[in-house]
Amino acid sequence: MEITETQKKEIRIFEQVLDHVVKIIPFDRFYVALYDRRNASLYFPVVQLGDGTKLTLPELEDGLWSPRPFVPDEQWPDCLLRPDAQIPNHNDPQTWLADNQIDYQPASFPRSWLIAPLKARGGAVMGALVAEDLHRERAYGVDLQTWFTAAANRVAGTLSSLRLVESLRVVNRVGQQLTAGARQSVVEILELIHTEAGQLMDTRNMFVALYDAGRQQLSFPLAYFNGDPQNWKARDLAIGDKPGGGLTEEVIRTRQTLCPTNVAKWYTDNQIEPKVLPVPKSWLGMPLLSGERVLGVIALQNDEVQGLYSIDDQEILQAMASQVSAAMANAQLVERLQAVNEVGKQLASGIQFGENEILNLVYEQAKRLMDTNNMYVALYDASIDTVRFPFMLINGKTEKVEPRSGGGGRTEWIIQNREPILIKTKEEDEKWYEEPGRKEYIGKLLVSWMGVPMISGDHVVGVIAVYHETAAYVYNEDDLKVLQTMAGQVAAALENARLLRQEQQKAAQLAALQKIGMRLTSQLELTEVLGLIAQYAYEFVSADFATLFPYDPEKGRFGVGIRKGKLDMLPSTPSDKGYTADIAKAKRPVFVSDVEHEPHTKATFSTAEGVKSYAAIPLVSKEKSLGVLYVNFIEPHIFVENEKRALELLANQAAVAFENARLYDQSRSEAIAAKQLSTLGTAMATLRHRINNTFSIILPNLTRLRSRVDMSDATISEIFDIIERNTQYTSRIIERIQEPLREIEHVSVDVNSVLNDIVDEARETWAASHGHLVSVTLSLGPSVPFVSAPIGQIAEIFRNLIDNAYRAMEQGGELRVISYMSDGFICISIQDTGPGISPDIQSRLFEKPVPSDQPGGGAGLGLWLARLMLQSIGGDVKIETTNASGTTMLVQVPASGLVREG
Amino acid sequence: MRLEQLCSFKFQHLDWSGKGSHAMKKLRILIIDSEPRWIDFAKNELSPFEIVVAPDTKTALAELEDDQFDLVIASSRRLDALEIIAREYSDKLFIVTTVHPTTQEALAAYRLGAMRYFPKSFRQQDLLNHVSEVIPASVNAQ
Repeated sequence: MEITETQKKEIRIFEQVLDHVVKIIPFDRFYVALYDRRNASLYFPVVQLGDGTKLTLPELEDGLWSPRPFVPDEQWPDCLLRPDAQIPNHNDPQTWLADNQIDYQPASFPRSWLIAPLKARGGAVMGALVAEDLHRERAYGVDLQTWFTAAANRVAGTLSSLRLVESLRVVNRVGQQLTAGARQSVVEILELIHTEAGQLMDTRNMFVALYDAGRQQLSFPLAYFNGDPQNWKARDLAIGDKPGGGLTEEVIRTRQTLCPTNVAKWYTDNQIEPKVLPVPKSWLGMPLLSGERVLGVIALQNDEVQGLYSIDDQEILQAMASQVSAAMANAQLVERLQAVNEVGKQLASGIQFGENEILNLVYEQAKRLMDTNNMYVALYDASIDTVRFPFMLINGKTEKVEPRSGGGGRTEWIIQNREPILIKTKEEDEKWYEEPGRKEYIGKLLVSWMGVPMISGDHVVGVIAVYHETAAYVYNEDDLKVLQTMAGQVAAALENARLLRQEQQKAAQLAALQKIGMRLTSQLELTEVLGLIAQYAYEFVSADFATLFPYDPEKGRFGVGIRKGKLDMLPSTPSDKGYTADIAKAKRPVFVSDVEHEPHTKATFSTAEGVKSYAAIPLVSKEKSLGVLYVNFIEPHIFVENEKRALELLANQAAVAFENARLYDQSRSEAIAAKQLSTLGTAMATLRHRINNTFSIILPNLTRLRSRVDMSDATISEIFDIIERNTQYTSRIIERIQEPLREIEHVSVDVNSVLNDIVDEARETWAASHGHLVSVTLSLGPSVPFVSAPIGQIAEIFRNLIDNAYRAMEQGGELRVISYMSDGFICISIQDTGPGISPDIQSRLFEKPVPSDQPGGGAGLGLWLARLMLQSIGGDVKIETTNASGTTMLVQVPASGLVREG
Repeated sequence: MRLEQLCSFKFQHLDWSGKGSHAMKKLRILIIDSEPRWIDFAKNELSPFEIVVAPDTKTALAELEDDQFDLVIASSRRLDALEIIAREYSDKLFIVTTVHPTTQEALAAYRLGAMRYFPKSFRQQDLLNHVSEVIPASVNAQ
């Protein structure tokens, strides 16, 4: 048997007592019986016989004095170790044994004995002092009994102190080891405790449970049963307001040491069905606390002895538990700091990170450190006082949450006060919301909540928050510190990302504007410029698509909308009323982040296209609205200050470009029209001049003739008069033939009649040159009204389209011409069964031809000019369909036509 | 013959309402056109006159052969007929209507001697105004 330093010290104490006992009390045998709680045995460190013989090690290890297993209920004198044991009758052991129903038959039964328990603080018995007289009855009087008991108490006190000192030394050693090895893992720490505690108490049945408040789970990194290590699986547990789960749960719930005097009774009293049978006789559980948070439970149990754990035991275990808690907290903190450090390193290494990447990185690291089953990151835009939630995890699932403005939640509080919030219990949670103006958005009261501001420079970028719905004390100050550190890093990273994005955006803006500028100098095509504006607008802000409605400020009309991203052109009803017109007139941009929240901003297109968010920006040049640019999002979108600026800047540039292109276009078409008119004017002037010249010859010659003929003849005179008057009349008529185009501009056109005429003419022409290969169907709507319009342009279009249709059907086919009314438009559909129009011709079909003096060069002018005219009154001509089985052209003439001016 | 025709104006007067003396002969107008809607419109609009319609050049020339007309209103598509009329009946008054007025056509019509070249306007009075401008002018010239 190995004797420890402590045991040696104890033996010295007993020997000192023995010196006194020998002088006062006569005995045949004196011994000290001690209970070794480490292996539940009794041993006898000091034995002296009546002749003064001291038994030493070899004898003590053998026979009567060898250590023996401790079963205190069954054997004498071990029964004395029971806390409730009474001091027996020292002079009549046999009667006492019979009274106590103890079956004890030693080889040399004493006739008298003196026995005194060694009681520790709290009543637990450490052992006993025993003196025996083998020959005489009633050898010990009352005085001796009193003296002996007093001596035993003194020994017990000294022994107790010695053991406490020794325990503290062990605890201290544990502490030293724990602090020395800063990088110890939790399991290493627990193994150390198990070993060290084993020097002081019975740790054959011991376990440490670690508590995960977020997941409501217990895990067992350390468990011993009957001295063998166990591998217990983690299990779920629910911590409620009342005792309910069991002993471990109760320690976690109350965050206090639990050591029931009677474990079975404890279960009965709390009306709990024990999960594991048999119920241990003794159980000592102690919380591992870090601040107010329970990290876990360290527990000892004994299935044989009731009330085994003394207050000293509890205090020792307590001291160890706090050491362990501190060490574990440290270990966790080290782990956290590593994670935080990791976040910082990764964020610093990737300046090109986007917002989502940053947020995901934070989540991944935070997940390692704390319960992040419910976590969100809110970003704050101070310019529009709006909080949006790019990252939201509810019960482990990503959720979408609408941005909000002017809210009164904790997020807003943190943003305003720039301070974190740490809520540890349900009561604290309720109390927080009692303040006026505070609003709850999650929909239920929470138990644990922690949120920290992300501050970069002098402004709050947003908030990171985590919460738990049911468990209290899930987050503590350490977590808060970790989250705050992370928030600082994230704020810096987000700010960097924003600045970088801003720079990139600026560069993109400049590049795009430069592109527009270059296009403008190289090409002044109006539709081209409009298309570019729309395209860049949606590229700028990564919108889903953009639309642009050119606006004619003089006529208060909208032209054709141009859209990039999905289609090229879309028809637009000419109107100076409606939402778009209002924006054009107001000359102020409108930003709508969610039409659902602002129903009055719901334009018709937003419903039809599923647009949730849009910016409507008027193109204003020289105080005139030239159009409205829509940048559309299918999902709700908050326009940040940057985007707004970019779009407005683009709109300004676009307005200038648009105006330039328009003026250029206008001057070109005006020039061509003027040329046409002047050609006719010149021709008319020439004609008039020639006719007048003729008359200037006729009239003088008539006068000459009069003088030569006999004017007395009445008939001749009459003939002369008639000739003269008719000549003068004709001369007057010629004077009246002026500016024929002005006369033909405003007439009442019967579109059906025009179609009849032109189709008939074309049929004749083509029949003459090609034979009757093309069958013609004319289907003219009876309700098509007369319309005041420039007949020439309309006829020009029809003639062109019908000629084209015929040309497409050289090998024969079918021509169908249909007129009908639709939505206030007279629609004329011209269908052929030709091979379709090739894409390159499609794009040039309505193009302005290069002015040419070559014969026939002006023939193609008609379609372009006619279209310009039609568009100017809100009509249009376009390809409706074209494919291998034919082409359908559609002409739309507004039924209202042109209001005759003057 | 031409002289006789010119002289005949002297004995004629206009009867716009058609209520005048039945002894008086109505002015006669030949319309050379095949577009039914325009023909209907013109007949209606020019109800004070006696209207004869010739859908093509051949019919028109046959009508002119048989009958006397105070005015010819021809579609610009029948400029070929007008060419013959201008040659054969050089004193005949005629005006040209079109759905597709062009400079070249206008010049061609005026060269042939047309009194008017104007688009087919379906507005009330437009056609009548043109006709009354041409015919009374001839009368007044008397």
